[in-house]
Amino acid sequence: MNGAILDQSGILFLSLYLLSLILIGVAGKFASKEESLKDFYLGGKGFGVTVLFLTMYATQYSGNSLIGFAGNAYRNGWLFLVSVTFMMAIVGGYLLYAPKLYDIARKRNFITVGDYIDYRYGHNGLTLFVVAIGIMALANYMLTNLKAIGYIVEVVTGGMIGFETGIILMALIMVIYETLGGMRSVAWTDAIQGILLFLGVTIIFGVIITHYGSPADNYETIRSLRPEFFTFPTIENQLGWLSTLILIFFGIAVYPQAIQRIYSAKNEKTLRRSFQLMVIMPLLTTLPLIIIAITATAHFPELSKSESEQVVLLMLQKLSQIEGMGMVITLFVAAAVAAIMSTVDSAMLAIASLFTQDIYHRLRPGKSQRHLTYVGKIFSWILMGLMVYLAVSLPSTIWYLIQIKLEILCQIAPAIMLGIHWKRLDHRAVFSGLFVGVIFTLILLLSGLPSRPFGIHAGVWGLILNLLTLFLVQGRIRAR
Amino acid sequence: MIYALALIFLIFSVPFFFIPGTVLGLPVWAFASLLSSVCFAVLIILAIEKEWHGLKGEQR
Repeated sequence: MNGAILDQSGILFLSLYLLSLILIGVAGKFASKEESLKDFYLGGKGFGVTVLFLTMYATQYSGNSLIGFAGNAYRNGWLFLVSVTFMMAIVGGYLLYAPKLYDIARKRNFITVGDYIDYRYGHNGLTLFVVAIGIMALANYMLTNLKAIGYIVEVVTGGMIGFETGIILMALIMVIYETLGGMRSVAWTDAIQGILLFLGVTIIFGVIITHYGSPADNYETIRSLRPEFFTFPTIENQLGWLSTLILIFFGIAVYPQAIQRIYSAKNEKTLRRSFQLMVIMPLLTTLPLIIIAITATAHFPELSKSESEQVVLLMLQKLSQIEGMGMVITLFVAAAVAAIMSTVDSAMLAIASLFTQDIYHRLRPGKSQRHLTYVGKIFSWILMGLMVYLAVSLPSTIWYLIQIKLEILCQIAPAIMLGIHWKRLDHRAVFSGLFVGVIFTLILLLSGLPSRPFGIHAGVWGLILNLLTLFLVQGRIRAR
Repeated sequence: MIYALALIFLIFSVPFFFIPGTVLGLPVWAFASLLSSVCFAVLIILAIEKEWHGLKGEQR
């Protein structure tokens, strides 16, 4: 166990936490009321504020939010405050369509985003296109997070559990509790993971600020080491901010697992309260991580890019001689593992529901709900097996392609956000816009052309073309 | 309405991006950005409370 970050009690705590997830899965199985897709994929549509909010919170904040955001703030300084705004903007995105979608979904018993597209436009090709984009984005999310959890397990156990074994072990735990109780198990485990994440960030913030001081206490040192943190944002910086905001506003707000959580709310009031709590969370989760990372620049000034991703851990390790710090480090690791697991399990559940409801059910319309639920569970195991294989075996050179997700996913936003308010919007206009947006984005990303012309993301250019095409085709249809 | 307010607020926060100096260890523009995020959060919370328009009664 040379170089292990967790001591034996830390590994024991983590093992108990993982075991508790399986037990929650069993509890979810016993709590299920019927063998139906509605019960399995939406938890019977009965989540109250606590569970709904915590599952939204844990799902939205992935491992990247905990580790990647701190690294980014360390490298870019106060410019990365944009992350606080964009995490809030996602809720603004929900507000554009969730109030009406929730009512329609309640009345029509929707399970997936494909159900809404099918109901709204009645066009198989468009529904399958949207579902395919959703599956691609979610599979991508699963892959990157599985790879991250493999690295974390390997590092914190000092290599006692290797990268591949770590991925297989975590994937096995997730697929077991997911197939036992479906959304109920996922949401309940998310609730535990959400609490761990919040407590982890809060306690770590308190410990680090107490021992290292705040950015105000370290002002002179930070200013002398990183003067660029205090210069005015350039026009290019500001365009980058705007582009990121647009991409996240339209991309993350239409994630299929987020829409599934909107469907699963017990009632409208529950959904509204959960969203209101979600708006506050960037100030309590993202902001503390930025402050920690900027404080770190005064104490760990020369970190490389990969080292900067471990900046929180480095700060905690330097305090390891202080009594009780082992527990704080364990809490940080548990919070990171929780953030990743809650994202992967939700993505897996959403993909399985998209496959079962929008693809398999269409091919075999006469099958019973019991049969469909069974197919969904089998699919989850196959999917997880495939994702684990890819996470372990894909060469790093093609990881860039896999990271293309939001840029493509945000192209489905007009189909949902405009479709819900614009009664006469035709499926041909939506399909044309979506097609042009996706193709243009892929050309920018995969060809040798600059992927961010004028500092604007390829996905945002794609979205602009998507909307222009949509309005043009809709205008021609109306003119006939 | 809420989005219009947010836009107005953002426009009024622009001048802060050109004021030198620091507040609580943050450059003024970063502090203004943080403050605008807090106001943005309040606006969204109010929008959820006051402007949540589902389907009309008869459509439900």
